[in-house]
Amino acid sequence: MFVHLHTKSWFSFLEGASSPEALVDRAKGLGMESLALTDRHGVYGIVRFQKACRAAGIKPIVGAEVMVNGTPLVLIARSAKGYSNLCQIITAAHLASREHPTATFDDLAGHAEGLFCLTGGRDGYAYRAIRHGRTDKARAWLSRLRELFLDHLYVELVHYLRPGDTALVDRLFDLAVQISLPVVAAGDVLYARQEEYKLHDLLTCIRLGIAVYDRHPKRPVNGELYLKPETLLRRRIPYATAFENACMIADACEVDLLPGHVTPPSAILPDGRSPREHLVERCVEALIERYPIGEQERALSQLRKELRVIGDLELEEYFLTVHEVTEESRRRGIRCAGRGSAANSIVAYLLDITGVDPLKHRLLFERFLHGGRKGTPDIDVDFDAERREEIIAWIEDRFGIESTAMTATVITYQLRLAIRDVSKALGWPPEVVDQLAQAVPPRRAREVWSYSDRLREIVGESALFDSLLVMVAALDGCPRHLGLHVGGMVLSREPLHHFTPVQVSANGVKSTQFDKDDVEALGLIKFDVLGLRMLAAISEAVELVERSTGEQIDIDNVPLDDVATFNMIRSGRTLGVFQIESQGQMHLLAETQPECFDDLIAEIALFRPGPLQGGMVNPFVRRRRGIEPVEYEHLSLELVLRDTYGVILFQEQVLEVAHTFAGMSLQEADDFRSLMSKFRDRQEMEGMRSKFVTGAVHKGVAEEIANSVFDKVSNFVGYGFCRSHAAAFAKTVYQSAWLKCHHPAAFMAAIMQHRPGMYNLTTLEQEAGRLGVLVLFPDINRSGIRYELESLDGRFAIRKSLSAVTALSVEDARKIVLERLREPFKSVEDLYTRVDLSRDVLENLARSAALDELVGSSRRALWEIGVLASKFERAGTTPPLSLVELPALEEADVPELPPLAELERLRWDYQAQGSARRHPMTLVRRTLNMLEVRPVSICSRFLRSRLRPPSSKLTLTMAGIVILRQMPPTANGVLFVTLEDESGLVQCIVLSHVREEYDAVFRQPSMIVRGKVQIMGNWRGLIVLEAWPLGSMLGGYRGHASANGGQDRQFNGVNGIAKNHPKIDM
Amino acid sequence: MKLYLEQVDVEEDGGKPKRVRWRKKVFVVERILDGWIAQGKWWRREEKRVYLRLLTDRGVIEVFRIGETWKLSRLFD
Repeated sequence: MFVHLHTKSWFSFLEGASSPEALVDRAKGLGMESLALTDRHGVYGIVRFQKACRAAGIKPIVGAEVMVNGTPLVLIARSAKGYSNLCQIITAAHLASREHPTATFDDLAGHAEGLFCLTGGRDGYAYRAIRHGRTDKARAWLSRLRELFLDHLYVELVHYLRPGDTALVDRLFDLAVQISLPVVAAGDVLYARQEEYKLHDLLTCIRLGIAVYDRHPKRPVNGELYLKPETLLRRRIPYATAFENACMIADACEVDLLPGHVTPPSAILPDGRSPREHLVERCVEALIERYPIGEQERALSQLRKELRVIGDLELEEYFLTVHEVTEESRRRGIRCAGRGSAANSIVAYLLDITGVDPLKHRLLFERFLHGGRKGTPDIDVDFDAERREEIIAWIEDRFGIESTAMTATVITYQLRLAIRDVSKALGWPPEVVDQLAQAVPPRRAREVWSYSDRLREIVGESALFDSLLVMVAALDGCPRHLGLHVGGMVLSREPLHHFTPVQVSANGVKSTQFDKDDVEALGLIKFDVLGLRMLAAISEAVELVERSTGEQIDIDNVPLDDVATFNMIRSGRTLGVFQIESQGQMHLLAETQPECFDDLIAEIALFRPGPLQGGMVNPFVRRRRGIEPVEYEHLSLELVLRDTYGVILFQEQVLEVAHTFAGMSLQEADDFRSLMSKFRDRQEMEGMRSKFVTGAVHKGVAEEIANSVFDKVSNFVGYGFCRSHAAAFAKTVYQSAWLKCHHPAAFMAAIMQHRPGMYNLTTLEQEAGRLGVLVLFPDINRSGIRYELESLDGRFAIRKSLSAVTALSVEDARKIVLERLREPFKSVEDLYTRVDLSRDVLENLARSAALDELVGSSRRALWEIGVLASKFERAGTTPPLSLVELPALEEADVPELPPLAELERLRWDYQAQGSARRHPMTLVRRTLNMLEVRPVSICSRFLRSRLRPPSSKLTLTMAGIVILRQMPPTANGVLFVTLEDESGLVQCIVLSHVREEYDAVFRQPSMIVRGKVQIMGNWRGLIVLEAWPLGSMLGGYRGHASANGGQDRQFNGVNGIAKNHPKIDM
Repeated sequence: MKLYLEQVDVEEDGGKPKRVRWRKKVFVVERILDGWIAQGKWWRREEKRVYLRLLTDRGVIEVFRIGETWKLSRLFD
């Protein structure tokens, strides 16, 4: 039976139109026993392909189409050695050119062993030379290839059903016979079925950046490159040997890339110690140090259990290598913290990989690892984001540059991107393309049908509309390009070319050609080196405190029960605090009133799609507050769910319920948990229910109760936290909250420096103000490269950094600071002549008020820069000799300048330092007062007032600038808009019918809203009833009112609003 | 060589053209020299064209089939 040896899937990015699975399915359907995958420039799809082949029971042949000296060759691995050589050739091609990878004959020379070479299809050198009548060139090329591949070189015969192909195939065959080379028949397949030709053509247009109306030689002329049955190919290629050779090649190939086990990188071991001995020694040493004698026995018992499982899975070296990395990180003073399910492990805790004691917080090792686990466990470690690169460089050095690379991420088409690319290729103009892409939420491409009405409204009647929908849906899951995993670093025991080609990303990072799942399938270990900006902020805050006060804070060991910190958390003053700073979290904090560290763990886990969607939040809150009783459907559940008031909150609890209630072993229970968290069809679900209920009944539980508990477990869908992950995060939550509570100036300065959270600079500065911390604008003689603290009237103020000035790079800041160390700047001219800065940077320094101390006003500084620019060729240069004695600026150069108006000051602040010294809403407050539009803070006054009306009747009108706009998929169409004015934040809750009515308003950067007030702690909510745009009164963060027509226009805007809405009252 | 795009009658034998009638002339097919397919513009729902270059008793002609219709494409002098 014939074998297709030249087949590309959609992993030949924007060329092939079928998934590897679809190709395998088609080959299987045609009765073929083997199939090759030979994607262009890589083996990206080969793991999926091999898995699909295994499932279908056909033999996978591994290869790739590689450009060599500008023309493609098909290289097929016949052995492990051949695969390694293929990887090295592909790597060389990618290193030679990122955009157009191409290898050379020299690259092939040392790596031809174990490979079959097919001469390539229509674009191949031989085919093209014959087409142009240059048989001599084709002969020379083939002779050269034969020197490399010897008798493993085959002349590829492909008939594309294009004019002249019949003669070309004959001539190629004749040439092969003349020079005694074997031939092989191929299909140059680009899609599984003929109808997918359209998608291939469209992808080609997208790749070439053209529309379907444009002609291009690379576009297909017909749909004949589908995976054809042998009979059709034989009609066009009348040479039996070409078919026999295809089978012979397939028979000779034996490459299996899926070993079924993992090989950890090698750890550094003391002389004569085995990995196990070394691991045991390290753990026992730490155990004795960390646990008091009374607790040691329990800890030791857990340690023994874990070591047994780790030993069975041969993962000792994995743990030791991760330990090496975290140990090195700490040695360098780089803050790091293990997260995820690894925090369930006492071994990880004792090795200092994680910081949470699993015994103290009832964490469950089996959620992380058990004997039945397939593949490697994930150990994710967060590092100080600013210094993560140092750790990556060290890892490369330690494990060898040949053995480390980042994991790739295959970026596949999602709805917006698919709409954008398809509509552009179908010829819609850019503005329509933008509108179409913005009209849909971030969803799967196949969900396009749900938005067809919305899209049709934009394009109107069009013959192409159906094609748009069909093609967008067809792109679902199709890879578009290769990206980088956020932190997954592959550490290999052997050189990586045994497993994967390596390519270089746009920013110079080496990456594999596989994503994390494929990397694991290949038997490689991935270690997540993640950058967390909050860790950088915590480090920075601790350093700022020490620098400014001399106080040394041991942040890892601050007591976890600080009353002041919990008071702050309970009151919802958590803006800037890790994980609990959103309006939704503030609301939840006000409801749950956390009192201890374990409450924080629950808090983090509660605010996740799983509990939110599963309806677990309200029962949790009500039971915690004693509004409803805590009840357990069965006594055995009390032990598992007691600390979460009978509510399933953590992934571990699903596991424990399956274990204690339904009688499964811990391994079975973890498999059950894992299956429950994935997509399940009805049949699968019923199977799981049956197993669960049978197990529970066997333990004496009534069937009705068993079914009811199963329903609750099944509600806990995929997106819940595991307790260990929440516990690891809770520590960072607590540390950041503690710093905010006790060192607000240092904390807010660090947050402004690293910006780890969701709020913009103005909001952070406003928050600092609410904490009594003054934020000082940049100053050329005082500001540093980073945010600093300054003592002012006995308190600490935050001095904005020079780098906070727009367009001023760290390099510029460094130049300024180094020059200033010699002598402070005395004037604008002094700065201009001593430091080489661009005109833009100098002007932004002036606008940001950084030069005010030198000349008295920002406008004058800007003027002087203009004058100096006209006299000097460039900044940082010495004036011409004749002028040395005289100042370049004369009094007459600077006229009397008017002071800055408020609006102008605001605009300059935003332009030049990303935030304003006064909130923009203050500029329209007088007008808003006239309209009885209230500041946000008035909510709190109502809360305190004895005259407070019942909250259900309290209706207020407020206005503000939009800080956040979110419509989470879990919220049933409810839009959350966070508005900010000069007095604080309010979360607007917009129900779907209101959102639809005022859709245009809710897209505005600022707005007036009227609605029913909800107040809880520091959180204020508004259930919106009506909304109006504020835009005509104020340009929002990006502009100012004058950009919309000046102050008169402001009033017109307000009047307009008033006319349209005469009843703006409370 | 001339381009025509006129409808012709094609008498087939086992799926292969045997005689082509055009403007009251009959072309007896001796051999199929080449065959190819042009797909048409899928976004306009155009049908594909199956082209044949034929050696006939009156010289070389090129015909194509679109749906059930045959057309003369080119006539080689």
